[in-house]
Amino acid sequence: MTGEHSPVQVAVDSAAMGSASASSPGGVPGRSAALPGGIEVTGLSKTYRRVVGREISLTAALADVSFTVAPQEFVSVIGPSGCGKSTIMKILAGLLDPSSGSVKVSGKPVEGPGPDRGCVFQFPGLMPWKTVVDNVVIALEFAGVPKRERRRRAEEYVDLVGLDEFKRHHPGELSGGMQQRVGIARALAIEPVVLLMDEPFGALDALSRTRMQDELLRIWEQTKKTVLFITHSIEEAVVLSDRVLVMGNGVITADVPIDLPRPRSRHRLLSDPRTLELMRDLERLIGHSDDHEPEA
Amino acid sequence: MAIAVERRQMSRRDALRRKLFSKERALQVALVVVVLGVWQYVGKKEGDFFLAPPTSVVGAFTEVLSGGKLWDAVSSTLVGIAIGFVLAAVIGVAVGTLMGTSRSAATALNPVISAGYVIPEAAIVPLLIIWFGLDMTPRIISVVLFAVFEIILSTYAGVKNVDAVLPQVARSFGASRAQVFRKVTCVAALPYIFAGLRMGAARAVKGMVIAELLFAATGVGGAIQDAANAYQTGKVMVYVIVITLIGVGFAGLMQLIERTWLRSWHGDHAER
Ligand SMILES: Nc1ncnc2c1ncn2[C@@H]1O[C@H](COP(=O)(O)OP(=O)(O)O)[C@@H](O)[C@H]1O
Ligand SMILES: [Mg+2]
Repeated sequence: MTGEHSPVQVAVDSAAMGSASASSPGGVPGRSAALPGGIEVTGLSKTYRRVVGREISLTAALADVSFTVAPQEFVSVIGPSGCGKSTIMKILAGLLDPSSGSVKVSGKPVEGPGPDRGCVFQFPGLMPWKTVVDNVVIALEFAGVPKRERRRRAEEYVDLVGLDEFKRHHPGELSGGMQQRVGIARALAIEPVVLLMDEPFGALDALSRTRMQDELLRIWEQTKKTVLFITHSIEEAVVLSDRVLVMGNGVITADVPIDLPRPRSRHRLLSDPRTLELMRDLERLIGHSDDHEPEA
Repeated sequence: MAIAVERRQMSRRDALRRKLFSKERALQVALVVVVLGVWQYVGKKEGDFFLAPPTSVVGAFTEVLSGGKLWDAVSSTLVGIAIGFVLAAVIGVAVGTLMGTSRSAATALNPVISAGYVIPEAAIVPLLIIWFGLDMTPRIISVVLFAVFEIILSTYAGVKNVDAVLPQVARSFGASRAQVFRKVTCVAALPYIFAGLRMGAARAVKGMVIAELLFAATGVGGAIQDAANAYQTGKVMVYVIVITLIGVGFAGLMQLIERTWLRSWHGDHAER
């Protein structure tokens, strides 16, 4: 089966993207992106400005990016390194101001970080001087959770990610995968409506990586949050997502619904011909987006 | 993930034995014995006038103790070191943190700090005497000058080198600027700050003794000057040892404070 015959809906033109995603394919039907947990990104551009000696360098990282994510939808963003994935994530997290365009979460414009969004980064970013539980506790403190509730909640989410035996350990005593679990527990513990994950498993070995994907599927099915998941692994995107956004230099070049049944098990998915077909489509689309020049 | 985690308590006796009898400990003792042996041999050969051997130093020590002036000298020296070091620590940590968090402050202060760091402070001490006379003030200033730059530069390096991911993560969870500063940046920089304080402590002792030597009047430094003028090398060695003990004790005190403060930093585990 070739890409042309596949029933995948693809919007290769980024200008057409905005309208294509307004009637959002995939996702949870009947849920507007303006409802709690929804994400709306419209005409988002970002240019980094840096002065080195006499030279002012302007890097256009994003050019007119638009997409929506329905509440409780799991959407992956995939694209080659340097195409602007982390920039989207940081703007959604409120860590970075956009140059132009609008970014809304739950129908409200994003103005700085907030406890409605939980972030997981590629590097776990744990405080090395704090134990596993205390790393979660301090995040809850930053998020403004009342003191008497912090420890109970921290322990609850450390249990959820399967680290109950390691509560009193320090990050230096944990493997990379375990540290990333703490990062996930920390993001979930603030009980956000949206989970923003920037290549959370990118630094893990292949085995830990698939195990963490299974864990994430389990947790997501249990907690039902909106997830924006950044990755550069096609398989990861297909296994996890309801929908995959393909990026090439600063623009979204395709929006691919992943119409695989849930609940998913990696084992069943990998023997499903539909999975392979979707992976092949994505591979072709990403190859295509590599030649794509930014319009701005 | 590890298969199982087990935590056991070592008995007090085992813990003590681990501390007292180790290969490193044996080497430490052996090295001291070798130094004392060489010193004794050379001292005996050259005579008390040139270099009093350890056996004569013991005699000189009882003499100094019975003279009753040792405690006065030591306490005057200690008070100066303590006041000067606390001042240097406060100024050093504050300025270093300011430089580490504000780029313009770092740019503005860097030339002065770098110059202050390389200036041989001993050359300035005579000026301090001219400006402030012979009482405690110039000695305390000397201590501050010796210790403060080390502390500033370590703190600056520590604050500047905090893993940039940590403040960003904290901010993403909604931490205010003050929270990021107090709970992330400052704590993350603690190992560097303590390293600076430990080196600063050793330099504070030097700053004090050099000031006293140049005043030739008070404290342990003054006593050294007196003994040297009388060619009593045994007494000189006694005072040098006393100063060394002060310095080692002071640095040890800093290390103790550091250990308790940084316990959570390193995790309190038996095996490292
Ligand atoms: N702080 C910054 N200053 C200047 N340029 C930046 C900065 N951060 C990212 N960029 C540039 O923006 C582009 C997109 O970066 P990023 O969003 O990190 O890409 P990705 O996450 O897809 O690898 C890259 O070309 C990168 O060099
Ligand atoms: Mg990135």
